[in-house]
Amino acid sequence: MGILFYHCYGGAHTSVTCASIHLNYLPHDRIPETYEFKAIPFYDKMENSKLGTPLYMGRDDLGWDIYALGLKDGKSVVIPAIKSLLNVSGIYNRDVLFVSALVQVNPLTAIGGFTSRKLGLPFIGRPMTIWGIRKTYPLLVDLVTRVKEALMQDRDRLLT
Amino acid sequence: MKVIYCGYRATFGAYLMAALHAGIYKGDQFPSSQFIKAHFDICCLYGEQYGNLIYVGLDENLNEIYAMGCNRFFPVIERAHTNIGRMLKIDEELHHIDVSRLEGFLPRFMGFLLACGIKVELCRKLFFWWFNRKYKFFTKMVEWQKRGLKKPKRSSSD
Repeated sequence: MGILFYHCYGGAHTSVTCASIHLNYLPHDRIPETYEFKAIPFYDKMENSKLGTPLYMGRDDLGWDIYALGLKDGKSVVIPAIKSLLNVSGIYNRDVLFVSALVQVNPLTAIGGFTSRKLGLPFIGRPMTIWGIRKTYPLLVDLVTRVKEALMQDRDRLLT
Repeated sequence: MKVIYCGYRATFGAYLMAALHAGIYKGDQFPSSQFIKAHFDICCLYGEQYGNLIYVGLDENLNEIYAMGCNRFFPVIERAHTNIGRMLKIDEELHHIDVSRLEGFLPRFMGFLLACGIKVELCRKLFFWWFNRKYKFFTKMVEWQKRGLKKPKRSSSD
C-alpha cells in the first residue's frame, strides 16, 4: 500500500514502541513487561551517528510498510525535506505518511534515552526508558489505534 | 543526478553555489549589482524556507541543481534522503553538498535579522560585502565540486 514512518527524537524508543504496537509485537490490552520491550527488534539500538536512517519494522495487515525514524528535534525541517524530494522525484506523497510518536513523552523516557544513547550507559538508561514508556503506554496504544483506524478508513474509501 | 547544495538557510551560500554551478552566475566575471540585489531579495523572501528543495537549473551535464536550507540538520537530512531514495527506488543519484561551514557566520546573522524584519538596510550592505568577499572562494569550490562529480551514465537505449 504505502510507507508509514513513526518518528521521534532518537528513533530508539517511542517510535520503535509505536511501530511494534502497530505490528502487534506488543499487546494492545495490557502494559507489557520489561522483557517484552527488551525483545523488540531495534529497541534502544539506534546510534546518534545514524539518525535519519529509517528502521524497517515490518508490514502490517493492510499492507503498509512500517518504519521507525529518528529526526532529532528537526521534524519541521526534515519531513518537508523528504516530502520535497519525493515531490521532485514524482512520487505520490499520499503513499508516504509520517506520524509523530512523541505524544506526552514521560521525562523518564527522555532522560533514559539520553543516558543510554548519548552517554553510552544503556544499563542505566534502558530500564528508565522502559519505565517511562510503560507509564505512557496507553497513550501510545491510543495513537496507534487512531492511526490504524485512519488507514482502514482510507483503504475503505479507496476500495468503494 | 540531483546535486543539492545545503546551507543553514537555502538562499545564501547554498543558492550562490547552486547558481554558480548552474551557470546563472558566471564564475569568471563578477555579477552586476542588479544581480546581487536580486539575490538579496530572494534571501528576504525565501530565507526562512527550511527543508524545501529550490530548483535552480541544469548544469552542462544535465544534472539538476537544487538549493536547500537544512538549518542544523544536514546529516539527518542527507541520511534520510539517501535511505528513503533507496527504499522507494529513486534511481537518480543524489549528491548532497554541505555549504553551511563554507558560508561563515554572517548569513546566519543576516538571516536572523531579516526574519525579525529589522535592519534590512544594514543587512543589504552586509550582504553586498559578504557576496564580494565570498564570490571567488565559492567559484573555486564549485569548480572543485564539479570535478568531483561523475558524468551521468548513459542508458542502453542511447
